Amino acid sequence: MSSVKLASPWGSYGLSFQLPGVSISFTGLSLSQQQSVQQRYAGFIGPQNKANENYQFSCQAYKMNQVPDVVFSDLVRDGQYAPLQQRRSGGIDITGYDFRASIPLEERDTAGSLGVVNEDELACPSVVENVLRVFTAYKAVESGGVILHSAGLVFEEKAYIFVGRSNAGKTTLTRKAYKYGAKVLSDDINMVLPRTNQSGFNAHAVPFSGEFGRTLEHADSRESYPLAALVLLTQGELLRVTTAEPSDAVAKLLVGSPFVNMDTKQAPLLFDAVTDLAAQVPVLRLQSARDEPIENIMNEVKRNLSDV
Amino acid sequence: MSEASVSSDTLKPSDKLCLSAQVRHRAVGADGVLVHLQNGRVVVVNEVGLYIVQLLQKPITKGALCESISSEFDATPQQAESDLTKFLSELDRESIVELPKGVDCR
Repeated sequence: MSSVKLASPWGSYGLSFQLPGVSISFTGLSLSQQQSVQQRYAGFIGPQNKANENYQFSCQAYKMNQVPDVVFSDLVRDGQYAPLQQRRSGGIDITGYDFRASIPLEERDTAGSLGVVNEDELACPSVVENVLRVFTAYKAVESGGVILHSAGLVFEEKAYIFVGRSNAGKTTLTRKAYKYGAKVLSDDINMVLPRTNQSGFNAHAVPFSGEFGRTLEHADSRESYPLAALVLLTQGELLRVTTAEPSDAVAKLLVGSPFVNMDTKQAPLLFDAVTDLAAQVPVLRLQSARDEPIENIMNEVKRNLSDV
Repeated sequence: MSEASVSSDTLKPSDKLCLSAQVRHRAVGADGVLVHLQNGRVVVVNEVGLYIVQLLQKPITKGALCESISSEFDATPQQAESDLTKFLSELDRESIVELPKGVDCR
């Protein structure tokens, strides 16, 4: 059990996130914080099941006296806000410009913490969601899966994960696909995990979204779809879909795996996960103009898949 | 420790090179994929590059690298050295290769 000395909690309320393979219970919340988080992440809040097989940890919310002493430029990576991560024995510490979190990674049922200065900041995506993203990234890799900077789109009950960095066109693609009738898992971060007792991977609903936001009323964290293909987004004007070389696929998937791809301890697991993923799921390269109709893109993707 | 840069002309024949401790790599098909854990950059190398990267797991001189490449890939020593110099320069630019600290290279 962690021996973190905490300042006072915000209140005596709590809730439990149920994410694919993991449960996270927040305690020490004020009523307002509990309600805000419940409202924002409704599909992923559920009763804590002590008997389940999920990795669990409880995270105590507390009041910080002052914002962390960090230089803002240290919190920017590739032009995006990126809280600092510091791996330590048994877990990871995350520091943002307005929060500090400590997450246990190696023992079940251990305690973590999440501190903010202002009460209403905790439920903000820049705080609670950043903590959840980092935690699920680590747990996904330990399960043989990965989370990817990507747009997750579902066509005919099959998931297509379009992998790309910021400004690669994920949100534009998501908007077009949504208008076309696709379900949207997320336009920013998606989780893929190996299927249980069978080959292949599933794309899972997670409460992480970007500019587009979630349009899918996710039933709960069990919602998932068979992964039909990973599609690497590249710049270009003419529509072109090709099969990615295995090494190129692995390289791009490594680049697209945030939070864990710079962690020495996780490197072997991450390599294994993306290598398995690229070996079991078709990986394509998509080049298209931003205004290319989604039906043309998907026709080309499916035509290429039928050739694989 | 030597002051020589990996890619500079000041590299002595006895200077030994090795992969940075911050680099992890994996063979994928015939190619190699390298990740630099400090800057997050990912590099793909071809079959010959992967062979060199594997040799660089232990400190090795440029001359020994040349000999191995020349014999493994049936290249002349001159061609091997020319290609190796370019390749090491690229690895150096990505901070993938370094002169090992604390290792007596002489």
